Amino acid sequence: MTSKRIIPGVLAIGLLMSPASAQEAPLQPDPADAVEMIELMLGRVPSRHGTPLAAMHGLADLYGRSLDQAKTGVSGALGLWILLGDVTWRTADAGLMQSYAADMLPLYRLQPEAFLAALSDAPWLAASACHYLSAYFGSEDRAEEGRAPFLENESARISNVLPKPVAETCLETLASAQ
Amino acid sequence: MSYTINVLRKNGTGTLTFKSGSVNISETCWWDEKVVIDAGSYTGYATRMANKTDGTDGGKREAIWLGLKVPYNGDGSTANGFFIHKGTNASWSDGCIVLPGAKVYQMWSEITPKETGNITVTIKDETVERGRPLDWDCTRHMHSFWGGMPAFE
Repeated sequence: MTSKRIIPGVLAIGLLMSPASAQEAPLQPDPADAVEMIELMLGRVPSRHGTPLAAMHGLADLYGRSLDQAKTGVSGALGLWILLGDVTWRTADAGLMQSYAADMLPLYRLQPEAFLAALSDAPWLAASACHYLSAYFGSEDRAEEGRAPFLENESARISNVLPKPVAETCLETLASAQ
Repeated sequence: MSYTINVLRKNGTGTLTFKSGSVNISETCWWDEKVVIDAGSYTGYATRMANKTDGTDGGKREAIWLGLKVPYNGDGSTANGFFIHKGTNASWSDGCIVLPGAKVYQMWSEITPKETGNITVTIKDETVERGRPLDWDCTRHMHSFWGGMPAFE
């Protein structure tokens, strides 16, 4: 994983934060958060933070805020949180990657249909999302034993929702330690 | 007050050393071998990781942040989220340097003030220096062959 990987979907932020999904949301995503995500994708220090340290803390706050909104079950908010995870993965933000590895699978278990719907809308997010789902098992001393039952329970659902090649790659990722 | 943390890496594990006042730490550390911070010197900040709630003191996880644009993998890539934090093996790392939580907390507690770039973190890789081979010592080998120094009379 390197920061040289091409970031394919800056414009997808517009879709993920479209008025349609925003109107459904009890918690409105802050447009300034979207600006911060775009700046992160472009390798810039987000302009709303005055110092590097503030930028680090600001990103951690953005993660927590986005996760809280995603837990509300609003599909737009969930997509934004997954998108931030993709940015984190592509930019190799080690601290936040560990947070995603711990938090993504529990969120998937809360709302698997909404989660997979978000990936179906933007299949290019599946590579990072499936990495994080897989990384839950075995990292930070969490048990590997849950991997096989998770794969067994979710394979059909994933295969039914995601495009076939995306689903196959995702299931391969889920089957192996990250 | 300024502080220094040294990390010496070798064959998949390293040794982190820190000395300040009565605190003297020399501890094994680990990292993800797929994401390896380039050897060099970085400005560190004693802080907390806002999204990890497993701090040794019951708060957010204590950590040393290494700043923005830290190079890794020796290919020109840089990243902003590298920390020194608690962990018991490389599975706790996506590039961060990890060591047992009690040692992190001991080091982190000693550093004041927090949230300030008052730490120099130096990361080095152990290098093996090879010199000229030792001369053949025929006398020593005669000892082992005969079980002692022979008497030449």
